[in-house]
Amino acid sequence: MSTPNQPQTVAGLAAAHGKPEAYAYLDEDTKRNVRRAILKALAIPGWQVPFASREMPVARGWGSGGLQVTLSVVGPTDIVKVIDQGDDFSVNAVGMRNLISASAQCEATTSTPAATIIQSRHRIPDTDLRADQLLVLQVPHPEPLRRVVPDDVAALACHAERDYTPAWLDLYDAQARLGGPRTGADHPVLVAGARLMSPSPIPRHDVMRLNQRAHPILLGAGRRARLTALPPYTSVEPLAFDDRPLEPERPDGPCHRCGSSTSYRVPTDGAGVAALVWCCSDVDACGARVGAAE
Amino acid sequence: MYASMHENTALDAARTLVRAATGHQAGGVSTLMLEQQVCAEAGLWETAAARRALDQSHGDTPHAVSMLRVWAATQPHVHAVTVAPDDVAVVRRLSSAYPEIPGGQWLGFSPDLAPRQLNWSQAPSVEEVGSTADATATAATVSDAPTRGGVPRVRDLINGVSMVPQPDDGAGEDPAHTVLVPPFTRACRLGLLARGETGALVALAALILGRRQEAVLVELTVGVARIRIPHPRTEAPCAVVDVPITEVEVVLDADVDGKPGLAMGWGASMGTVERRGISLALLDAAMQADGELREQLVLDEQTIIAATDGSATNGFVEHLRLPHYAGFAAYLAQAAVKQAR
Repeated sequence: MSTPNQPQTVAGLAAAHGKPEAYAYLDEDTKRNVRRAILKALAIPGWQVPFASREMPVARGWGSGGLQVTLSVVGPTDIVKVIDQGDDFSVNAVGMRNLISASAQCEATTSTPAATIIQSRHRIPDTDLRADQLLVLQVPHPEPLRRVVPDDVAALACHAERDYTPAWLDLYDAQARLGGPRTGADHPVLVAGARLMSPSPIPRHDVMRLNQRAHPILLGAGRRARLTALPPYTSVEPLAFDDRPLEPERPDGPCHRCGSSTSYRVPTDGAGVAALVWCCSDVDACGARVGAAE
Repeated sequence: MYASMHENTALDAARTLVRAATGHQAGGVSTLMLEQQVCAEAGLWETAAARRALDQSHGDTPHAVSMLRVWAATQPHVHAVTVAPDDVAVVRRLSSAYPEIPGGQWLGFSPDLAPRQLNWSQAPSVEEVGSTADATATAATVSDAPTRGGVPRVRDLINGVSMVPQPDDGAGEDPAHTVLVPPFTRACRLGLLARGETGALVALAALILGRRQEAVLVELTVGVARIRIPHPRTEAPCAVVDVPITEVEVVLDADVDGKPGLAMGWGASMGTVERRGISLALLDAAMQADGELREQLVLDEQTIIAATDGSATNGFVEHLRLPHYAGFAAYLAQAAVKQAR
């Protein structure tokens, strides 16, 4: 097999596992393409890099971009966690976790601290990640200017010239007319003070936690075939005026399971209770708090 | 439960349901969903006739739809009694807006559980024609399926945000029976769109979805509606047929009195081709949010290429079935702040 001087190859890993199909589902050409796009994206934080997005065994818009990123970087010693809105047991998350762990012969977990790769849809885990962990986000709309500059070519020119006037004007319009930005999730961010980026539809609570993270974040948009990356310790600021900072969501009550009043909470049906109750959207972190309290 | 899928017997049952749904076989090939699509587009529920039409049109779907409509055009038309909520048995129900909803979520026949990888080792399944398992046979076999009347509406949970008022412009006419002329009432519009071609509905819905900020599937139910017609002599309603119905409610972001609010769209289609129902609801919501789709749609090359990429538009429209509660809570929170201002 591989000696220390000889790097492992995909084909070598496949043969070692006696698998006729490629290791980790994707063929070597695709993996090479995605990895090159990842490297380029890491070199230009916040820049949208096109990549050869393949038709995946999940539908377009169901995390095909995140899945291709994860499958391109996963190895046999990795431990993979997949969450959807913070929940490990969503149908789609379960399907992708099974596909990754089966095709890459690696371990799967639902515990955030135990995982080495965390693929997530629309949430950043409540538990802060370490430098040796990787966060992969699934992105529906990689272009932050899509509503104000519908033409992709014009939007590319805006990025090249760092001219985000349309986005600032839109923000000013919302401030003047409505008294604040109209974005719920997916509030655009300025990366390294220069490039505007869509952080994927994470709530504002998570947008404000993106700055100076110790771990890399890779954002894959399969339908739009774009890859974006945030290397560790990148400055990430939400697009906002100096005297009008972005406000996080303010849930009306603590989580009805763990009692946390600092986590990101969503309203849900409180079995038996007439009104809606609040619960943490990050199921693993919530469970850990409940376990610690008992 | 849909949003949270722990391994249990219910999940095994759901998988079995999908695997067993071989439906009716045409030459050893399952055409279950295709038959349902042809019936929905024809506006006529008769899967046996759809199968016959598909065979005689050599699988050309628009031709088969046309054959069904031609056949139905000369048949006598009987007005059915309005379907009562208690006559709709719900066999599948889910919501993307909340992790848990009153009445619960049921996977039922879940298309998401069917694998997307082509299996070369498995021969086309040949079972006897008319095998009982299909998407909705559960209603007949599961006698304890709840009725639409007995399950609360998820839309009633949404509070603290203003909704675009829904036009109350009366009951619609049957597009199969009456010539409808514009301006259409909402009910007529929904009736006409319900017979729309699946691909066209999905392409338009995907265009709308790409331009919106917030689009959340509030409730999707697959139910079996018992259709009754008045007895010709006694006028007493008699059950004549059970028709599977997919009913969908979505919300889109919309401005209400200059403040962020929501527009609630509703769509229903015969059969269990869920992307039809989701597309119909999206189109209805968009028309309520912006009047008559006032937002200009420029048919430039990017728009045309995006709208015709079938795998992207289908996947994108159907991805509304995935949970969206984290983003939905964020949208409601920012809308509530502006309401209070």
